[in-house]
Amino acid sequence: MNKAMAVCGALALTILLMISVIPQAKSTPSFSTSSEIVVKDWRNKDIVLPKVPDKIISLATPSTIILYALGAGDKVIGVDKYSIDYVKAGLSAFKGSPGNQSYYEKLCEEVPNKPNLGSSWTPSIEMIVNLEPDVVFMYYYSTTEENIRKLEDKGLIVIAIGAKNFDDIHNLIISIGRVVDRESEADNLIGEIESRLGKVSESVKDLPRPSVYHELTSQLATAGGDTFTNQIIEAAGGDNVFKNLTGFPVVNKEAIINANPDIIIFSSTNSIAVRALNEARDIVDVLLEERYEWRETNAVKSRRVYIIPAYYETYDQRFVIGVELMARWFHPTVLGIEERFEKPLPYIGPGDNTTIDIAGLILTHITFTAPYDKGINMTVMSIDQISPDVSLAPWEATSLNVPGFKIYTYKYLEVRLTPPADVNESKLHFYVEKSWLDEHEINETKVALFRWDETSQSWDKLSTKVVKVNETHVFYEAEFLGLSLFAIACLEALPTPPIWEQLWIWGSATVVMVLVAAVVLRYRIMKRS
Amino acid sequence: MRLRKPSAGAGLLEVYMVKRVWRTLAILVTVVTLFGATILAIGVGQVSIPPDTTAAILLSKVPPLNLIFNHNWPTSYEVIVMEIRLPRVLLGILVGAALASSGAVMQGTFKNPLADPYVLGLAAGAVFGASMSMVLGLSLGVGFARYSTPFLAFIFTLLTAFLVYSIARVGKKVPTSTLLLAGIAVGTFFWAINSFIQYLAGERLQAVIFWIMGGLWPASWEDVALSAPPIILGIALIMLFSKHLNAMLMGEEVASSLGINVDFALKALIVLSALIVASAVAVSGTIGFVGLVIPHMLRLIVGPDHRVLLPTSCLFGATFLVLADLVARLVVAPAELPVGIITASIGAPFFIYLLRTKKKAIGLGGRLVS
Repeated sequence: MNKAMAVCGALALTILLMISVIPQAKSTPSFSTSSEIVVKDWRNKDIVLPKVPDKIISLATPSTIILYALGAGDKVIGVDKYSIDYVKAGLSAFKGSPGNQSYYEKLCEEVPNKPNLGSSWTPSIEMIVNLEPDVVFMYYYSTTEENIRKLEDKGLIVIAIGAKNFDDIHNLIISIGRVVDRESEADNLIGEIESRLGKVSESVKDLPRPSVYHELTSQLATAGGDTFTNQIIEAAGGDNVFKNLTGFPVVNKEAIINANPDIIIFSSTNSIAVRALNEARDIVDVLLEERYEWRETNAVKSRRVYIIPAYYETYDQRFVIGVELMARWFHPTVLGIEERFEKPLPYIGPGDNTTIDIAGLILTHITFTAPYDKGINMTVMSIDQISPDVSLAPWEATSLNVPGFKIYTYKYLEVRLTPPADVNESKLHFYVEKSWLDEHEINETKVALFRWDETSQSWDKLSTKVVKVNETHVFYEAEFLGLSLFAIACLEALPTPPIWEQLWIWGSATVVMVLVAAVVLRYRIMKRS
Repeated sequence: MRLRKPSAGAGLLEVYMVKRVWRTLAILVTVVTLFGATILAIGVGQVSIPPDTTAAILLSKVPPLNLIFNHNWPTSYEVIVMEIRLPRVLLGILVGAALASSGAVMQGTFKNPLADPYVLGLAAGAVFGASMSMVLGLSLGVGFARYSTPFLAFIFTLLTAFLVYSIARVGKKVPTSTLLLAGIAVGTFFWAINSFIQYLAGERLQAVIFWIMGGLWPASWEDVALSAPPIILGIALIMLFSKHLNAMLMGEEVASSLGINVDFALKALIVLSALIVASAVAVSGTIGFVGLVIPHMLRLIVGPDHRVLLPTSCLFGATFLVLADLVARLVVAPAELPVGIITASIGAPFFIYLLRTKKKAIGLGGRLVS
């Protein structure tokens, strides 16, 4: 009995001793202040990092994405389940994002295989502590505060993140850049965001703002005036009809009809949008089927109802794409867009193709072939028909121009998929009015489709053939690889000007005359002497 | 609750039953209230439409009268009155009536003041069906996709009722206490699955949560058309069992001595109640409180005689939900509140007031056997 008690007592003492030693071992202060990094986090707390961290855990999607976008993906040793879910949506969700595309490829490749550590709300503390991270990024909300404190109690450094507007995202990018010592990358990223936002705001600043109703969930939850979503709408030159509310309120059907929005935007997660995408039907038709009473609103009457991928409205740099997308919806004419056709695509299996009939544009139909390795799913196709006389600066392209040729541009077309997807050999069927051909005295066989190649910054001629001719129109079929900006145009070699109008004739004549004069002169001088 | 002599039961029953005149009067009053509430709820909304215009819009739809009106109102007014407010108010009437009468039936059959329409675990079953469609994307396929959520909610509510019923059945009998416990057990199980689905829901979580809170905002004429036949038929059939319910309150012995087949009545009532609850839940989500408290309120006012309690509960439930929904629409305009918040916050104080002023022990047969 006594012996047993003694053993127990000894054990208890040892344990007590061990417990009292552990924290001391952990709290050995480092005196090297030279490489110290200090950043202010979302709580306004100064976070002091002894050195550039090597092991980072990110329990928030924005920090995961930004860390990778700054090229610090190698340091991420664990992420939250939402990061994994978002990234699983695929690389297409990151196409066109500011920053280096190869970093996003790395993000999509690596993050699904990183340890899943729960979320900011339900972190698996044991696993996090076990990974011994140098720093942990977490969402800061009243509901995560307790978890942040728990991790800090374990001696971990936690940077709480959050955002309410564009500036907060800039600050987040800057502070993450400082933490991982990649400040120049952060500056570049912000530079690109600002220049892209600047372009949009420049082109929409003096225009009348269309009224916009943005439905987040089909319970009629929308975005109030103090939200990030509202800022995106405003930056794109729109006017949120419910900007006087705060947060994400659920609004009344009557109020929406009364507000009579010019434009309706559905989040891609909204059940009406999901139906349109699943059934590959026009969102307006689905909307009318579900809510016939909306037929009298301006937006439905003019069919200006759109679907925005939800991730273009989250707290990371992709919001820029959201702004650009909305600006096109709100102000098509300022960009020279004459007509627009938008429809969700049906599912296209790998290597399969599908044909979409098009109405209202100078296209009859378009055939898409999916790449052999990946199908196309849950995607909205949009085609903008652009007047030939506008500047293509918003598309970052130059007008079709080939030296030595006279160019007659009929129309520009932009074919987009949202979210972006690659396509294999595909076909575009378009037609040209005969009157236009006659007006410019163009032979119908000379009309071709051109594709803007972004990498070489030039226009490529695509193989185009006449398929049908009727009284008024000529119909063509053209093959293309990859979506971009297209031009329907005719190149005509400039006729050689008459001989007396050509400079080289006069140039050579002058040279010959000078030479002859020189020879004659010399001959004369020689003769005299 | 128990009477010594079965024979005395019949006599007592007669004495304490509400007289025919009072019954008619009570029902008349609730009908008038419902009518008033309906008119109010159609006339008032976030968009202020003059009452005469509203009346003209409504009357212009009636065949002989439509000739005398010239349509001089904006189309949006007509859309708001005819396609938003009217179906919403009618759906409110149907759902309120279904929940309140089912609540009265459940409290009567289980002789338990805490029973409500969802007592057999029906809410959990309904939410399970709805989240299968909303989160896991189960769909009826192209063409019927938009009916998926109501359809699955309806089917799973009935399946839950059937499951609970089969678990509780002992031979040919269905003991109410076992039924109650089976309901709790099955409900708890389904809630666990529901929580798991919600854990997986991600961005669709809000849709599920809204559905659980319930509301009349999605109301359309289709919802009214789909839910009206089962609800009206179900309530009509339930009314036929009011005598059986009265007898059941006296205990099974009394009931059998009065020549009433309690087993059959119990089974029929459970089936009918599950049917109307499933129909209501399918179109409006799980709206709480109406089914629990309205029957109690009416019991305090008109007494426990089911011949008057059932119709008045049904009509007053409808009135109450229509009014609560009106408040939900108006109070934070142009936003909207979930109607469950209103039903509870208006209903509970009113109920407490009744409890205090009536100074009567709340029971189910309180007045029957004093």
